[in-house]
Amino acid sequence: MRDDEGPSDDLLLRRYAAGEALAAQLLLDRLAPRLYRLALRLLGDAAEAEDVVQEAMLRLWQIAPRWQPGAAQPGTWVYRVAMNLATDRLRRRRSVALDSVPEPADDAPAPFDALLETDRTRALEAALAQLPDRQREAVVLRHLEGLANPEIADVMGVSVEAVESLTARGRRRLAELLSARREDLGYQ
Amino acid sequence: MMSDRDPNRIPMADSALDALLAHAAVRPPEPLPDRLRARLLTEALQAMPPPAPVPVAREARTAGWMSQLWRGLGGAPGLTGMTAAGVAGLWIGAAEPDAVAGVASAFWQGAGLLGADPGAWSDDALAGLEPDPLLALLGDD
Repeated sequence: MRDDEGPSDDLLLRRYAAGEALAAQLLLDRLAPRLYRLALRLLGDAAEAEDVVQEAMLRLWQIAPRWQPGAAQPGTWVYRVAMNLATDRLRRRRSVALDSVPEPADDAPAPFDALLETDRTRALEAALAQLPDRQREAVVLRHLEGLANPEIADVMGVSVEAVESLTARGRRRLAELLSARREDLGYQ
Repeated sequence: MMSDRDPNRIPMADSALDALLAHAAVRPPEPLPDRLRARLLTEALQAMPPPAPVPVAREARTAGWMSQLWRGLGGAPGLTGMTAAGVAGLWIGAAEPDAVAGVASAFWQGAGLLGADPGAWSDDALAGLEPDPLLALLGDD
């Protein structure tokens, strides 16, 4: 959940709390792109993803003076905040149907491969949006963000066994949701 | 319930789902928009506590105190003068009194004639003076 080189997130956050502007910049450049990517994958909407990143980072800055060193990694903590914020937004638009995802704004004709890729992306995002919250979080963190199960357990605040169970159930539900479109998407 | 007559109810195969997820995972991530980064940085700096006073290390504090004293003494020239004055004072204090007298006479000619016999000095002083009448009356008693 952090870069292997350079100061740790924990140290950077403490330096930020001591008034070092450079620490803010380093921590921002390390964490914000990951949060944005996660929010985009969970929400599929750039404007909402930006709001989530902004809120999550602001909460990190605000807690910095009271941060307990060693209690948790700031990267993990803010990841969890962003995920919860995105999940809250998804709950508010729970009624999204598989076929109701808006079409891309670009009307220009696209090659078949590009169309297929767009279709696959939209279908997956829509199916993910249909999953129960915890299953969706586990699947996104495991299969899209590439986190290991212990890391996911840290972010979600559950055991590794619970992560494995959530991921398995999420995959099964995804497979069911996508069953009707598997031929459209080029799968048998 | 799944049915062989309804292919839409057959779940996507694991291999197909893995391929779909892997395809999405390797898709290049959207970069953080510049305007969002600028906004995030502005908010970070606005929320940042004021810089804490830099703690001064003990060595640094000692060095500062010593360097202040050094400057107060006038540096190397000042220390040289102070040392010379100290040595001279020590020599004056520890030297033989005769030597001191010698030094004093070198500055004040005739100082060596001064004696420490006040009786002789007072006899000399009264010689040739008229006796005081009142003292004479007392002497008569």
